Amino acid sequence: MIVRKTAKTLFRKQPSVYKPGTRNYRHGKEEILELEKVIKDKESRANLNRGGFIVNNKLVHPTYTINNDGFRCNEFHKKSTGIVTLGCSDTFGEYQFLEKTWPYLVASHLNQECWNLSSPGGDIGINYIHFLRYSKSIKFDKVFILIPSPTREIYYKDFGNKLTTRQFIKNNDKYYRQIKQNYNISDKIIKELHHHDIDKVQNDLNRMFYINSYLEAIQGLAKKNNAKVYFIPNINYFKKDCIVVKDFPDKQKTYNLACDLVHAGSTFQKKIADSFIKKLRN
Amino acid sequence: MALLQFTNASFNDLQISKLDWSIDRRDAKQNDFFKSPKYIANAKQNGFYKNNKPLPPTYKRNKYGFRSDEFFKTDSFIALGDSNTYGAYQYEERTWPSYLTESLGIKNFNLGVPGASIAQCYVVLRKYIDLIRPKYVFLLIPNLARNYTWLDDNYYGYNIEDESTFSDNTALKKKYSKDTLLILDSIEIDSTNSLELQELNYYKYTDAIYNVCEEYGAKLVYLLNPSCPHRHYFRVQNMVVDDSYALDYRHFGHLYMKRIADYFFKNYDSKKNCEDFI
Repeated sequence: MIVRKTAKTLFRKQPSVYKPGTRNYRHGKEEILELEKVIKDKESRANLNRGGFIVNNKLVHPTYTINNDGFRCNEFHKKSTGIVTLGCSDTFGEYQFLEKTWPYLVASHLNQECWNLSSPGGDIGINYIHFLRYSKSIKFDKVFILIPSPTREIYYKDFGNKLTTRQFIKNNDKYYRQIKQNYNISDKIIKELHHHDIDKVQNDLNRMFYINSYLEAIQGLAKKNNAKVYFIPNINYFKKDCIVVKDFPDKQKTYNLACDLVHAGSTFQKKIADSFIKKLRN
Repeated sequence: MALLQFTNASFNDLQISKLDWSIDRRDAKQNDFFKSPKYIANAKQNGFYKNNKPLPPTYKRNKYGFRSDEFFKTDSFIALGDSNTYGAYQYEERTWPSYLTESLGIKNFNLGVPGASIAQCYVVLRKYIDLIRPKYVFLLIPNLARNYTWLDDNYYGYNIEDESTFSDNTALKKKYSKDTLLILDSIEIDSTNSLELQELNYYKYTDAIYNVCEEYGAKLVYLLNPSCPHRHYFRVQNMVVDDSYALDYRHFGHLYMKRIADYFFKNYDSKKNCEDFI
């Protein structure tokens, strides 16, 4: 007799980058000390100033309030209808004040609760899984997606025992480290595997399928919940000539940066919010 | 279609693997089945003899390669799935799409592809639904452990059941060392065996297919194939499957096909779906 199991693995709670509660940065004190050093550099200081992180000559760090499920939003409930936002660190608002993130701006415009289900380092596959997992815990009528980098892809392995993303562009990514360790293979093989993955990323057909199949799954799930989907590709991560972009602001040099001086800053966040609001009007 | 538009790539560029399902090999194989005693007994028991003469199934083929009439817009349904939908080693009139046409009284377009994964069912539907605009889409979900992956400039149905592996691929052999390709095989096999991936395949593609159906105003009804290995991990419909066989004595036979059609007929108007069973 076959013993039948019920696989509901996707609905198991997974550890997120940030633990519940209020945290400063992913890497804690070390990262803050590093930033304190950076601020002494004239150019960096000017950048931080432009981003709004220097108040009264002092560096002001954004803080994150993380709910019990690891997301930068309130605890999930079904009392009121909100909006869902999906994406990567730019949507999470890493190194950015909550009030300046695009999910906050769009939700404020609509006067609705914001369910920000994005995760730093995430890809559209992880977005779909989070949406699938938590869509039954919340009420929503709109879903906004800032499509993350196409060079990321989810993978499942027994090692690590969790679903996670890999970044094809780096051959020192945790994925390759884990492969090396688990299959006990040489650097030469890792190099070839990486080369193979890069081929995948550079293939437009492959990326088109990967992104659009998830996009369509998100839309299907949204329709089951009578919600509408709006999306914009995160232009910072896409080769400009590989996608047809309509009504999307070009990346401008005047963009300021987030507090880590890597992520795009509040100007970018505002432009994304404006684009979504424009889509809503249309 | 609300999808991200790429400059140099679209769904129409995606090839469907195995649509050229080995016509010569298949026919040779079918003739062999009438030579071995084990297969002869099976063929006799399952009705592959007419007037005491062996009568192997024949397969019609439309211009897109499907075992279906040419596509046109009419009151109809699309049947999606793998060889169990295509009707491999089975007469066309004894496939579940044909039985369902008898019950529903509307035309069927069989878009089943031998060896297909659920991902490929989605691609097939996205590519061809506009030519048919059906009233219903019936999906018999293939083995969830099948994956549809990129290989050598196009998609490739990666299937550990029939040993199609990276290390077999001629183009890749020129690019990479044997060790690398063997590791790729291992990684892919480990990945397709993971329950997370199988479950993701199920939810992702049923949601994507649902979205396509909604776009075209078609009702989607699906069933997790109760005869596939995923039955060990996922709850499937309680259904007898092994009381009849196809000519190859591997695929299940006409009684199983009839039960699948009956399930769809019972549920085509119901709001419930197999989502409740996984």
